[in-house]
Amino acid sequence: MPLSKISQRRLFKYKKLSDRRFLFESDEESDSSQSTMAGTRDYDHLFKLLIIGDSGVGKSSLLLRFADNTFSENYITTIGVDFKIRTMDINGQRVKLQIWDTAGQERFRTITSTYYRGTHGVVVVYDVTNGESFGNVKRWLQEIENNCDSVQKVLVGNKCEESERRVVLESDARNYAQSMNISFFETSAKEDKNVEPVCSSAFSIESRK
Amino acid sequence: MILNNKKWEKRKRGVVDVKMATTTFYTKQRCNWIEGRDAKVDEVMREWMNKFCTFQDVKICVSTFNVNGKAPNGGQFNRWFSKDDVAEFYAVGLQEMDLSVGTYIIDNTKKMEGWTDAIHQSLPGGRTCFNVVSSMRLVGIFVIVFQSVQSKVRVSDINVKYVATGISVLVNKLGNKGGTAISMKMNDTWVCFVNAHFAAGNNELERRNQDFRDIYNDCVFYPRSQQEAFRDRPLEVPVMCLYDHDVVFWFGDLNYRLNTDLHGISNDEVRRIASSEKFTDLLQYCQLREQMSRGTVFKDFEEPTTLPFRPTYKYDCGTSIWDTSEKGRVPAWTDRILTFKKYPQVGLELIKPMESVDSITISDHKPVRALFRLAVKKINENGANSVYEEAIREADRRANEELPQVQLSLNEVDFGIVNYLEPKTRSIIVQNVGKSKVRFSFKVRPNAKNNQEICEKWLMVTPTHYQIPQGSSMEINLTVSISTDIVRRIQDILRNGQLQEILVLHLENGRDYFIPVTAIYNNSCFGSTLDKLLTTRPRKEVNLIDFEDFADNLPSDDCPPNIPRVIYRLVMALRTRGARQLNIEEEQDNEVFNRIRNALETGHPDDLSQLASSYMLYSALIRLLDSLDEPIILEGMFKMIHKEMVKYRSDATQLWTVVRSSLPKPNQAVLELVCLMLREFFSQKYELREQLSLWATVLFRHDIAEEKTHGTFATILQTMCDYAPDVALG
Repeated sequence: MPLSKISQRRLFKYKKLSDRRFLFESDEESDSSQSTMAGTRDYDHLFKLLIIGDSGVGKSSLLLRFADNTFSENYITTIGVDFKIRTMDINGQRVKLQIWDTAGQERFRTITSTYYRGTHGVVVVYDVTNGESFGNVKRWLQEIENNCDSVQKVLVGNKCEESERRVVLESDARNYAQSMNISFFETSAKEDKNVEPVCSSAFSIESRK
Repeated sequence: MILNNKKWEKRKRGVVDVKMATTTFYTKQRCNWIEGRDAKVDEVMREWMNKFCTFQDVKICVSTFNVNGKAPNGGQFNRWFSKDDVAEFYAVGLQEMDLSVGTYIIDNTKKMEGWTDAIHQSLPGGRTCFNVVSSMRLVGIFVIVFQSVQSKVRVSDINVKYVATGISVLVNKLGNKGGTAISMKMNDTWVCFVNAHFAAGNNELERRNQDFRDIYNDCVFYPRSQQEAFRDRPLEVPVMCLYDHDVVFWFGDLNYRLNTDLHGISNDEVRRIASSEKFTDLLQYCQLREQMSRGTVFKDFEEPTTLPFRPTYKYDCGTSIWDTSEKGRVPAWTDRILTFKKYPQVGLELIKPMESVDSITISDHKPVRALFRLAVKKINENGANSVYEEAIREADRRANEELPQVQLSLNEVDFGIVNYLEPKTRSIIVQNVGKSKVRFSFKVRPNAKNNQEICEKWLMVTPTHYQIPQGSSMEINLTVSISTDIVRRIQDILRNGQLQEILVLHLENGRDYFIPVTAIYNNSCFGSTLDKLLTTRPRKEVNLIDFEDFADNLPSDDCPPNIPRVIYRLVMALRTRGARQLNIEEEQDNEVFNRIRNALETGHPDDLSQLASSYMLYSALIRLLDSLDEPIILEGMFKMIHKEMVKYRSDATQLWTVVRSSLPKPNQAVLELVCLMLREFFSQKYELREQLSLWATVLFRHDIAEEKTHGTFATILQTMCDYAPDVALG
C-alpha cells in the first residue's frame, strides 16, 4: 500500500474518532473541541416544565408522582423551587423532562416569576375541591403571559379522587380550557390517575412544532 | 497489499463467515436497550443483568510467543497447550513471525500458513477439534483465534484491525512494531484480543508506552450490529473502542525490561536470581510494573500480582540457557498477558497460574500462556425490553436522589422587634441530608438594582456561599442591623410597617429555598424628624406607676416648646454632669446605649444624668442628631445657607442672622442649645475644642470630600459657639 493511502486512511479514522471520548491527556490537549463532544448522548430532547398554581392544590404531589412514582400524605408547603427529572422514551426518542415545582404562596409571586424563563411548558394546577384555586387559574395564566414568550400550557384539576368534596365541575373546567385553547386533564396524584399524560401531552405538542 | 488475509482465509476450513454471523443478528428481536446511550440506565441494567441475561462459563486460553523469525518447519508443539485443561477458545499472538526483509514489500503468506498449521496442530486434540475464528497479521505480528468445534458460543461481529507504530521511518511504519487485534461478540459479550510488539531496547521505555497509547487509540472498530442498532441515527453510531468491550485481552512481546542496573544489580546477579527459586524477587524491578503503578501505561488493565514463571527472555535458541551472545541481554519478562474488564461485575477469572513453556526452545523467547474463565452473557431481548422501562425509571429515581438535599432548621426567620443600632442575629442550621456534597449560594434578588445584592442593606447574611460535606451541617447567620444610614430612609424600606425580605438559598445543580425574613422596627426617637420628635410624647403610659412619683417634678418640664424633649433631656443631663466628667477616650458600650435609648423613649427615668457616663450621653446625643432625616443646619436650596455661612464663617453676627432668617424655629432652637452646651464645655475643658469638626459634620452633614478648605465648617461652628446669638446680635 502506498504511504499516501495509509495516511489518508488515518485521517479518515481520526475524523470518525473526533466524536469520541479520548483516553489520554495528550490527546485532549491536541484538540479542545473534542471535550465538548460527548461520546454518548443521554437524551434527544431536554424539556423544562413548570408547575404553577395556588398553594395546596397538589403541585408537589404531582411532581412526586410523575418523577418518583410515589405519594405522601404529609403536606409540606413548598417554600422555594424544587425540580426533578424524568426520562421518557417516546417513539424511540429519549426525552428528558426537567420538572420544576414552585411555591404557590402569594408572597413568593415576584420571586417565582423569575423561574419562568426558558421553560417549554407550564402546567397550571387547581384543586377540584377548592373553587378559589380554580378562580385563580386566570391569574396564573396571566402570569404566564407576563413572563413567557410562547409556551405550551396545560390546565390540570387535581384531587379528582375526592368526588364528594368536588366543587369544580369537570365540564366547566373543560369548557374554560377550550375557550383558552389549552389542553386539560383531571388528575389524582394520590391514586395515580392521568398524571402521565399531562407531561407527555406537553411534550408531544412541543415536538410537533 | 501486504496484509490481504482474506483470500487466504477463505481457503481455510471452518472460517466463520463474518457476513453470515451479522445477518443472523438482524433476525433477532430488537433490544430497546442500547448500551452506551445513557450511563445511568446502563448501570441499572448491568445490576439487573440476572433478570434478562443468562451466563455461560467459557474457558479461554491466551498465549503469546515471540518466535524470533523461526519457521515451525511442519512440526508441532505438544507442550504449548495443556492437555488437561482444554479451552473452548484459543487466542494466540506471535511476534517476529516473519523477519525476512521481503515481507515488508511482498505479501508472503508462507510463514503465516506454516505457523497457523503448527498452532492448529498443537491444540489439544489437533486441528479437527478447532476452527479458526479469525486471524490478523501485520508483517510478523500475528494474532489468531480458534474455537472448539463443540463450542455452543455464537461468535458474531468479528472485526480485525492492525496498527503500525513507531517513528515514521519507512521500515518501521510498515510493521516492524505495532499490534493486531480481533474484536468479536461471544454471544452478547464483547471481547477483544490485542497482540502487540512494542519497541525493543532497555532505553526505549517511553517508546513502549507510546506504542501502547498508539495501539489503544487506533484500535477502533465499526461493528455492523452497532450500526444496525443506530440505524435511525446514522451520524451517532458509536465506534467501538477498546474500552467499549466487556473484556480485552492484551498480550504480546511488550519488551519491558528490568531496571536492575539502576539498582546496581549486575547481569550475572540477575541471571543467578532468575535461575534460582527466588526469581519472583526480580519482578519488583520490572519496568512495566513500575510504569503501571505510576499510571502511565495500561491503566485499568490487570495482571496477576506475581508471575510464577522465569523471565521469558533471552535464551540461546534451542536451549534454556540465558543469552550467551556478545550482547548478553539481561533476562526480562518481555512476554505478557494483561486483561481489562469494562466494569467490575464482568466475570473474568484466571483459573490457573500463568505459565511459560520452558520446553519450547525454538526461539530466544519462551511462550507464555494463561487460562481464563469468562462468564459469557446472552441477552434475552424480551426480558431486557421488559425491564428496560423500569430501568429508566430507576435511573431517574437515582438521579433525583442524587440531587443535593438540605434541611433548614428554620423555614422563616422572624426577628421580632429590632432597635436602632442594636444588631440582632439569628442563625439557620443548614444540614446536608443528600447523597453528595452541597454547594450553596444566595441568589441575587430579582429586582435588585445593584447586581451584587442578595438582600436589603438592613440584613446581613454570612456566609453567602459555602460548601457542606455530605452528612454535616453548618450555620448561616442572619443579622439585622439598623444603622444611621438605614434609619434615615426607614420609611421607604418598611413594607406593611415591617422590614421584609425573602432570601433565595440556591443549591448548586439543585433546588432553591426561599427564606422569608421579617423584623419589626421599633419606631424610635432615632431616625426620626425634628417635627415628629416635637409632637411625640414619651410613652408614659407604659410606665404609669413609676411615672406618678415624678410627674409633678420633672427636670425636662422647663423644656422650651421648640426643642424636642429627648434632645433637651440629653443636653441637660450633659450640662448637669459638666465637661470635666466627659472622657472622650471611653469605650462605646452598646448595652449602656440601649439603656439610654430606652430611657429616652419611655421617658423613664426622666433625668438622664445618673443613668450613664457623660461620654455615653454625649455619643447618644450625637447619634440622635445624626440619625435625623435632615441636618440641624439645613443646606438650603442650592446649598445657599451653607454657602452664606461659609462666607461669614468668622462673623458671628452674620452667622446668627443667617440662622435666624433661614432655619426653621426648631432647628434654630436646637442649634442654639447645642452651641450653648459646647460653649460651656469649652470653657470648662479647653481641649474639647478638638471636637468641633466632629460636631460640624453632625450639624452640617457637609460633604467632607468636597470641603475645599479643611475645617471651614468647624470654624463656622466655633464662631457660633464663641458668640452666643444674644451677644452677637446685640
